[in-house]
Amino acid sequence: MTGLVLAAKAAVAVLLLASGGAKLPDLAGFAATIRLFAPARAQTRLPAAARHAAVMIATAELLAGAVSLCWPALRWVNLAALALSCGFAVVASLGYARHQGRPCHCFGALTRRGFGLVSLLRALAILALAAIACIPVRPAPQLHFALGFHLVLLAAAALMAAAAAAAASALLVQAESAGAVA
Amino acid sequence: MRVPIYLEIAQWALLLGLGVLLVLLYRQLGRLLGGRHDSAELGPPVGSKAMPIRYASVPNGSHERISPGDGQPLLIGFVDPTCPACEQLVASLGEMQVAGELAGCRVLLLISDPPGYLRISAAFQATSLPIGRPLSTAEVAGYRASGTPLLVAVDGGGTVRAAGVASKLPEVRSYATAIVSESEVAR
Repeated sequence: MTGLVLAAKAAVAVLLLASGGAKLPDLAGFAATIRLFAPARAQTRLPAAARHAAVMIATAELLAGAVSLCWPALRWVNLAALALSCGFAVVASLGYARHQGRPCHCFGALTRRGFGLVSLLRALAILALAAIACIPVRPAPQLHFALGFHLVLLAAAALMAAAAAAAASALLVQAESAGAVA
Repeated sequence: MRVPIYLEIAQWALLLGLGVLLVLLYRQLGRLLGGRHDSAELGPPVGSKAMPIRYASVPNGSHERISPGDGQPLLIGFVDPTCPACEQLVASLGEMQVAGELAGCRVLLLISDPPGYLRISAAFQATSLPIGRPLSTAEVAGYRASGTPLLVAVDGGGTVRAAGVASKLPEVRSYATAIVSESEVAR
């Protein structure tokens, strides 16, 4: 059981790092997705607000992913990741119900898949992993290690986010030159 | 020294994540080096005859028909309000319209998203250019509009002079000048 919990925790952290990093090069696209869920009367004030929200969500994903990966003993980070995953599941459900086929930008430009059954199942799978990651690990000392290990994990987290951003940038350039798939 | 089990698991999770990203990048590199560029399949071939399109006008829903080749140059933009590059294209066309650069040229914006999505885009709400929704995908099959934004410039004789992805003002202007200047020369 401990292995499963730790694997779920690491998987959620890596997914958050990848999705947060991949959103950064395509904030305009992600902001357009946020606007889908805003009420009609708020649309006139939205372009700037949606962009700020896009930056905040991507940053929150990166922070939660990095802290969760590097300091696994901090239990509040599990709850933060669970809250983010709940939000993604709600958005994926609403997207499935109301905006099928519209761009999701859940992983920035890494995927061109729109809202649909696959994105909903993916969000639910991430939610399940985040819930498993919240189960307390016994014995707890397994999650405490030397400062050097924390720093190595932090460097790996930065590398993961940078790699996701680089991959998303490359795919975004291709999408912009070829047209986003309708 | 014994490595904590969490570090082993985290290492494998990171390795798997980086592996997936590497595969994505490798596929992208293969596309670029192999010349299998998606844009080659986007838009009608330059020099081909543009097909007529029937569409439902937005927002009133009346059925309209546009027939390229009736003597007036035509710019057709395949756009969607959920696509940021399309918003930029619509804004660029709006700027050109205000500057009088589209005089003598018809412009039609064709969307595939339902008209209700226009509310999420300030550029689409602000534009006075005609917007329509093709009555069927078969109507636009000849335009090979598999992605957005796609801009197609058709001269007065109904021949496609330029087609491809364009959103920034200089790009859009080059499409317009390709057909407007030619029609002016013909006059």
